[in-house]
Amino acid sequence: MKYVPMTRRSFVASAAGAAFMVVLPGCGSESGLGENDRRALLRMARLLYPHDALADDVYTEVLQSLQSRATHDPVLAEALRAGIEELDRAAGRDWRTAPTEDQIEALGRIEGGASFNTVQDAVRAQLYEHPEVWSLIGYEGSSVEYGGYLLRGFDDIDWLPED
Amino acid sequence: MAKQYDVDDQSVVVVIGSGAGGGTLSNELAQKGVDVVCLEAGGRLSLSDVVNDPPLMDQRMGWHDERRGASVWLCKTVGGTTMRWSGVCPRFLAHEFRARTTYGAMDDTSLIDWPLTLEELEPYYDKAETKMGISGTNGLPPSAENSNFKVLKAGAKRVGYQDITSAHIAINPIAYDGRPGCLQIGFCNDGCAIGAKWSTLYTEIPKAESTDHFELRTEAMVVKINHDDGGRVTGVVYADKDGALHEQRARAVCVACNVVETTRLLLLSETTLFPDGLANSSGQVGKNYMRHMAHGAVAIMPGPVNAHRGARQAGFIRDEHDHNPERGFAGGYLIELSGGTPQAHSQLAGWGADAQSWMENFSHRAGVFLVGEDPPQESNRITLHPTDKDTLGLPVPVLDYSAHPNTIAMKRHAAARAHEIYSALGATDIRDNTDQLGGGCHNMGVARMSADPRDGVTNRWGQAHDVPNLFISDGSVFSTSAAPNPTLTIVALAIRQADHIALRMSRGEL
Repeated sequence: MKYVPMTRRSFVASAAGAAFMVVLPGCGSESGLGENDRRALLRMARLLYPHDALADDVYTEVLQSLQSRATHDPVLAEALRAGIEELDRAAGRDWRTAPTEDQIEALGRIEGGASFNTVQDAVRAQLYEHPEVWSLIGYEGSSVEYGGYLLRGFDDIDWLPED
Repeated sequence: MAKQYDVDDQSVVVVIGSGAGGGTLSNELAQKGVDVVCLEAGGRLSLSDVVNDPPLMDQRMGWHDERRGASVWLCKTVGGTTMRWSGVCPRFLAHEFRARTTYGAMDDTSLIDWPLTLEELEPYYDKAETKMGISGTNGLPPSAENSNFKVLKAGAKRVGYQDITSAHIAINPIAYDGRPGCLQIGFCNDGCAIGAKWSTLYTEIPKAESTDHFELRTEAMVVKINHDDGGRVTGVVYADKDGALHEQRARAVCVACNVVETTRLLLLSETTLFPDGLANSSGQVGKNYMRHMAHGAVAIMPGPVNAHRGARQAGFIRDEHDHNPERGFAGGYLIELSGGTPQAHSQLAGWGADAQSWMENFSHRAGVFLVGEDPPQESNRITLHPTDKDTLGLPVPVLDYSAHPNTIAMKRHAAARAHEIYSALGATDIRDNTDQLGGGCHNMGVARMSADPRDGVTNRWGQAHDVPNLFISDGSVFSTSAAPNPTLTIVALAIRQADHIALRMSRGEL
């Protein structure tokens, strides 16, 4: 498989245009998330889409857009904090420090709620546009500059039964 | 320098929209020497603007104006949705023009027959296929079989299907009509960067421009169709890119705005003479809105497929297309190939370990898009929002749609067959997608052709029952949806309508 390199800048530009943006109302004064909130979001992102081969850096990068929106959007920031508090309640302790199985169970309890969906949609929209993730899962990205796949394996399947 | 017409020139035919219907109609008329002004709401891309970046291309060509209700996936750009489509071009079957006669009275439907037969449309299907360079027709080879298609074909054979084809795709299998053959780039739905897939952007539009009988005005959003005291249309009002309004006079107006905007424009054109909207004395404008039975099935296969390589939908199975009521529903469906990006794949991922295995097996993905007949219901309709307005101050469209029980029964059947196909080859994980795959990319009805003017909005030529020089030229005129993807039929109807308009003009009737 040929891995098509993509610069971080082009990734950010591309992901920023994602059609899957989560829309939450709000505007105005400076607010944002504390360091503990950011750590909790990072842990959430990892548990929602647990690709062991990916470094935390990838998830941190993926969360950047959500977190920077929260900086300017108090309603979003509040929704994210509320989600983390829900997790704390579901875990019966500081969710970030709970054992992994308990963290997953707590996530399951808030699944489908507004905060859960906001984080999941935001992570999913960005993560699967990330070149490192593409490399991991075998997606090759833009192909036109390589002449497409006409001479690069568009029909090279070799495991189908003969019948 | 391309031809330019004065806004007061009453001799021109105004075509609204430059996609499959409007782009084709414009060129066909211009080739006959009819003067055409085509008004397109979007801008004009060139092939160098087309990149393999779906989110970016959605920004460049998607329709993002506000809408309420059921989602649609349309384009605001020269070429319209021919920029985004996959090129699948099956013809309708004969019985699909006679839905009411063939299926009988179905509860909670407003089923009618088309005032048109397959036999009458066949010569125009031939012309459309020649125009578009459809694979497997006119001496062109079928489309090349990519790995995803080979999986589908092998599985389909195992479950007993026989009518499996990689032909009838509007992507050049070899160079044709000045456009190159397919390079299997894999981003068909994001604009074809080399122009191998048929789009009016680089076929009909430049051909029309070369006639000296055609002007394309871009970023020209039509907001109203005007008429005289006698009820004949006299021109259209459009907003330019700065929001300034202009009136273009016309001898006839043809509306091809992909169903949602076609409805909105007719309803916005209400006057004392047409109090319920233009051409709406029947009350049928916006009603009988159809979307197709649309369902996706994605499977993780035992080995790599790399379904992102190559044309997205180059092949399909026709064994379920016939009407066979023993299956428990009326009408038929097609099982069509479907590729996809990680982003699309992730919509079915779930989360946690489930998501990990699903996503990390992306290269083993195989998939189909199931598309079938969706009967018309009066309650499925497009209306104007009573209070919400867009940036031009016009009411936003509201789309009310719910699937008929027949559509749901068909969906169940089709999904089960898709699972059998992939299970027959040892698929390890098969997931379904109704919401995101396909629903809203095929829009039909709302100004349907009807023999009886009380049942629909247009006659067998797409001419409004109420207004002799107003034509509808997109999928809005479909009396019923049939199973096939609509574009080929839209193009065939547009070619036929151009013949009709030119004939009527030559007789001094338009």
